[in-house]
Amino acid sequence: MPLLNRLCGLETELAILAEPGRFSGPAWRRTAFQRLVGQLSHWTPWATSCQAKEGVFLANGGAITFEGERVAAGAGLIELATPECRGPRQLLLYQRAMERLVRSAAEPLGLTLIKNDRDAVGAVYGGQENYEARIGGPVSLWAWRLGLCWLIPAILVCWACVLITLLFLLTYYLLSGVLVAASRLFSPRGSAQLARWCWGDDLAEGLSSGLVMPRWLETLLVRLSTVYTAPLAAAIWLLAHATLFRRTRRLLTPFLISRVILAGVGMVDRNGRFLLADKAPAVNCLLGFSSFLGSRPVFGIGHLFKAACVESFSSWREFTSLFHPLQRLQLAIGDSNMSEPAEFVKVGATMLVLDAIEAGYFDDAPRFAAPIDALRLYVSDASLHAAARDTRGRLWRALEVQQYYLAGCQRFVSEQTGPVSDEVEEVLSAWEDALHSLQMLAEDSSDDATLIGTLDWPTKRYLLEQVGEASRWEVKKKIDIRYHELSERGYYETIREAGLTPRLVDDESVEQATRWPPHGTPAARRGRTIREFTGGNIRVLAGWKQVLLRSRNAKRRIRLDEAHGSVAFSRPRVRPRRPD
Amino acid sequence: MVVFRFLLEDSTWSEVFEPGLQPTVALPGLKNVACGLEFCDSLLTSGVHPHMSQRDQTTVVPETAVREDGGADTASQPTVVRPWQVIVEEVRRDCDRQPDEYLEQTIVPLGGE
Repeated sequence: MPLLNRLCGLETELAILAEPGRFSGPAWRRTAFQRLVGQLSHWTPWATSCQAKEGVFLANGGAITFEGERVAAGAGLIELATPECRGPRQLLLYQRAMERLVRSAAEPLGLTLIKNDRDAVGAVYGGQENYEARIGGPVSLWAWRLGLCWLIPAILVCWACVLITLLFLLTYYLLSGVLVAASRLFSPRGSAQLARWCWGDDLAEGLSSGLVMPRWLETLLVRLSTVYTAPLAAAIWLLAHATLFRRTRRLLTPFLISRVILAGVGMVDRNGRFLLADKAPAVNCLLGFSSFLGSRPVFGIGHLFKAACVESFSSWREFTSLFHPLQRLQLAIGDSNMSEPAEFVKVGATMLVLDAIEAGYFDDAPRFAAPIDALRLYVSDASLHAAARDTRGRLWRALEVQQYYLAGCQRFVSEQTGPVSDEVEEVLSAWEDALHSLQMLAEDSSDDATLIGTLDWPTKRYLLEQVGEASRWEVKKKIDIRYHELSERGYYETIREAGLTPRLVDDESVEQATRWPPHGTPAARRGRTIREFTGGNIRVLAGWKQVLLRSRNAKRRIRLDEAHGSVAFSRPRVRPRRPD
Repeated sequence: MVVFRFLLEDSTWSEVFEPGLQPTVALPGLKNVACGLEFCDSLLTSGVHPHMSQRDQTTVVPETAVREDGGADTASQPTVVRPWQVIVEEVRRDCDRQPDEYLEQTIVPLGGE
C-alpha cells in the first residue's frame, strides 16, 4: 500500500456559546443544535443520521452530530466528524471545511463555537483521531474473532436489559399519565407541578426543546445503563487489551506521549501554570472507553463498544464488520489544533509512524516504565528538558523520542522501493523543521520566533506572556479559551486573518470541500447519494457504513464499505416493498 | 474604504484617517503628516500585509514614524511592521472585559465524548 494512504478521520467536539437572550431553558444547547442544522440547508444538502447519535450527514461525506447524553442536565456539544480521508493534507482540508460550514451556520443564530478540549472548571471533551489499521498478526486476529464470538451471549443479555428498560419507561409514562389525570380533578395547579416532575418541561408545557424526561429520571437511566453494560464493557476491554493492535499500541505509545510538544495546544491549569496540552493532563490510562467508567485513555475503544452493543441492535452487519482485519484505531490523546501546520504534522507524522510500524520498523522503540507519568512530565515542562525513564533505565526527553521516530521514518521512506509521494516528503520536512525549532527553543528559551504562529502551544504562551503574565487567573483562562473560538473574535482566528500563520490549504479548496466528498473513500459514495436523493420523495438516512433510501412503497440499503466509493457511482434501484 | 489607525508608543491610538486624503486632525506626536501618509501608501503598494488593503480599521504600527519626542523621522522611511504587537494589543483590550462572565458562559456541563 502507498504511504499515507490509509483511511483517516477527525472527530471534534465544540463547546457552544450563545449571545445573551437568544436561547433559554435547560435544553437550550439541543435547541441551538437543531436550529444550526436548519441553517446548514443554505449551504449544503444533508441527510438525517441513522447512527445512534442525533445529527446529520452532509453532501461532503462528513457529519455534524449532537453530543448530549445528559440533555436534561444541560449538557451538549456539537461534534464535527470529517469524511473519511486519505492523507494528512486531505484531512486538514476537510477539517477546515467542516469548521467553515458549522461556523457559517452558527453565526446567524448568535452562536459561537469553541474548538478546545477543556472548559474553565476542567470538564474534558475535544477531539479524537481515527486511523484505519491492521489488528495484528494472524494469531491476534483469530483470537480477536474468537473473543467476539464469546461476547455474543453478553451482548444478548445487554439487549434484554435495554428492552426491560424500555418496558419500564412505557409503564412509567402510562402510570404517571393516570396519576396526573387524576390529580387534575382535585388540583389543576398541583397537577401541573406533578406533570413537570414526572415528565420534564416538554410534555408538561407543550414545548419542543427535546427534553422528554426530568433530570432525575435521566440520571437514573444513565446509571442503570452503566450498571448493565459494565460487564460487557469489561469483557470488551479485556479482549481488546489482549488482542487488538497490541504491537501497534506498544510501539506507538512513546510517539504519542512525546507528540504533545508538537501538537499540544497549551493550557492554563487551575494554579495558573502553563501546560503544553489541554487534554493530555486528563489522560489516566492507555486503553479505555473515553469518559465511560471515568477513563480518559490514550487509545479509545468506545466505538467498538457502540458497534457491539448499540449499532448491532439495528443491523447484525455492524457486529460482523468487527471481524474485518482492518479496524479503526482511535486516538483520544490529541488536542483540537487551531494551527494548520500543527494539525498537518500531527496527522502526517502519526500516519507515517503507523506505516512504518506495520512494515516491521520500530521494534527497538523506547518502552516507558510508567507511560502516563511520562506524559504528565512532558506536558508540564515547557522548557523541554524533562526526561522520562524507559524500562532499560535510559532517560528520554520528549524531543529525543520524537527525533528517534523521525529518524526511523526517514530511514523507512528511504528504503521504499517504489515511488514516494510529495506529501510524504512534505510531512518529513515539516516534522523535521518543527523539531529543529523546538530544539532551538530548548537551548535558548527566548528563541521561539519560528514557533509562534506555527505551533499552537508556543503561540498561546506568547499571548499569555505578552498580555496576561501579571493578570489574575480568570484573565489568563479567558485568553486560553478564546484562543479557540471559531469566530472573528477568536484570538487564533485573528492571527490567521492577519496572515501571521502559515496556511496549508487555500480558501477555494476549502470552499469546494464544503460541498464535495473526498475521492476514493466511503465518503464519496455517501456524499453523492445524499446529493442525489435528498429533497425529493425519497427519505434518506445516512450512516458511516450505509445509506438507507426509503419511499412510501420501496426501500434500499446501500453499503458503503463494499465499493469504497472508488468505482463509478450508479443510481441504485429502489427495491419495492413486499405487500403487507 | 480603507481606514488606518496608528498605535503610538504609549499604547494609545491616534485618530483614524483615510490614506490619500488630508486628515482633519494631525496625528498626535507626528510632526510631519505627509510622512504618515507616505508610509501608508508604501504599505498598500508593496503589499507587505494583505490584511491592510482589505479590512476597515486595520491597525499599523509605524515604528520609526513616531518618536518619543513627538517628531517624525522623515529621513528613514519606516519599513518594519509589527503586526504581532497589534494582535497583542487587541487581545489585551479584549481579555480584560468581563473574564468571569465569559468563563461562566463557556462552561460545558458534564463534558463530552
